[in-house]
Amino acid sequence: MFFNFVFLIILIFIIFLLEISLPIIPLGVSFIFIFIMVFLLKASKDKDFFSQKIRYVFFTAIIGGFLLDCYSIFFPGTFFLSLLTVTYLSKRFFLLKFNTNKILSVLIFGLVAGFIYQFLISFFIFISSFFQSTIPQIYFNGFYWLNVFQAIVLNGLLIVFLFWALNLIKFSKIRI
Amino acid sequence: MRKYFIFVIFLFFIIFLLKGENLFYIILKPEQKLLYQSNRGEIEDDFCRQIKIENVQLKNTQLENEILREYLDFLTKSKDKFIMANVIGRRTESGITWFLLDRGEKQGLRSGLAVLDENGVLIGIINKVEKEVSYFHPIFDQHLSIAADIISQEFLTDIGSSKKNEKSETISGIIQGEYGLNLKMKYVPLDKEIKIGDGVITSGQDNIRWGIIIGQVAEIDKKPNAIFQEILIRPLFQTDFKIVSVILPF
Repeated sequence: MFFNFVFLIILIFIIFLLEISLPIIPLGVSFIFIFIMVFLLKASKDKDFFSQKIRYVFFTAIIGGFLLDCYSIFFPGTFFLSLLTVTYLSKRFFLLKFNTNKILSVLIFGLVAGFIYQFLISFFIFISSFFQSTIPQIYFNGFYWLNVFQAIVLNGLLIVFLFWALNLIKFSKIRI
Repeated sequence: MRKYFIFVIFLFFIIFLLKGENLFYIILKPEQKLLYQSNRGEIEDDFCRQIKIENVQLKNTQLENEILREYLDFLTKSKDKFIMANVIGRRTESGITWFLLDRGEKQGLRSGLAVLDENGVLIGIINKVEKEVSYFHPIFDQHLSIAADIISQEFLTDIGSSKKNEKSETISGIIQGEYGLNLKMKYVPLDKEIKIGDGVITSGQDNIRWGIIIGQVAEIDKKPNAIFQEILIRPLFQTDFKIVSVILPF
């Protein structure tokens, strides 16, 4: 259990570094969010709400959110609370409605989770910009909507791709 | 479970209050620099791995030398005090873009300072400063507005000096990024004569000195019934910036 924990922390750090410092990734793609959602999809078969795997998912959301907040110009807690809330809502409500054996179902789950995540981030930025002058206000213009749309679609597609790839690896291992 | 969540949220804010995030900046800075600056030029396929590595190292050093030489050339001409910094990350969230620098409060940076590229062209303004790192908004971000002057082509040679030439006629306005690509100058009176190709420089307000190059006039949008005309500016900075300089206050 201890080694799993250490391995997870190292993995979170690597994913975070790739998200923040890899210049080639398209704008709006959040590796931490994608990783949490795929992890949650894989752990969704556990009936117990606070099982070991689900605890790891929440732990990833806490550490990932903390790191993203460390390197953000927004009020501390914007990413942390957004990630925790979207993880909780996904486990508590969305995963019950979607059949994770179908690709289309996983895609819709990814899009819904992505939408909630983007909505929460925008909401926290919007609220905090009233209290702190250094935080830029969101302009709800075409550029903003394009950015949000791009983030939701790209994150949704990457969740499907990663989930599908992990399933494929699992099945190919069984065949061997 | 509720107790866990309350404890974690409480712990999170305590860490931020005690500035615990500084520890991460120190640990992650070298890895971030390595990652962000890794895609410098194309690497040709080679059978020999050792030669490949050496080649990449040489290319990196050569490129870094070229950038530093250009900086040296520009810095020796300028009388400003500078701090060089590496760009170690870039993020965009909800239409807001910001870049990360590996220098912070410790090295004398503070918010509102101008960030320039190797040719002395304005890239952005520092928005937030931490002990070890700092963040800047690029000028093409729509959340950044800067007071700027349009200067006719005949007087473009004066902008190297930090003092404003009395003879040069300048037209003032506000520059704002548009869709993360272009720059638009607003609040320019309709009666002012502007030509395509005229230079655009900082106007000496917002704690940034006069004369830092921003770009050139690319398009003029004059509407007959409007009070102001809108000017489309073509920015002159290098798009792929890895090393930048920050002008320090005197």
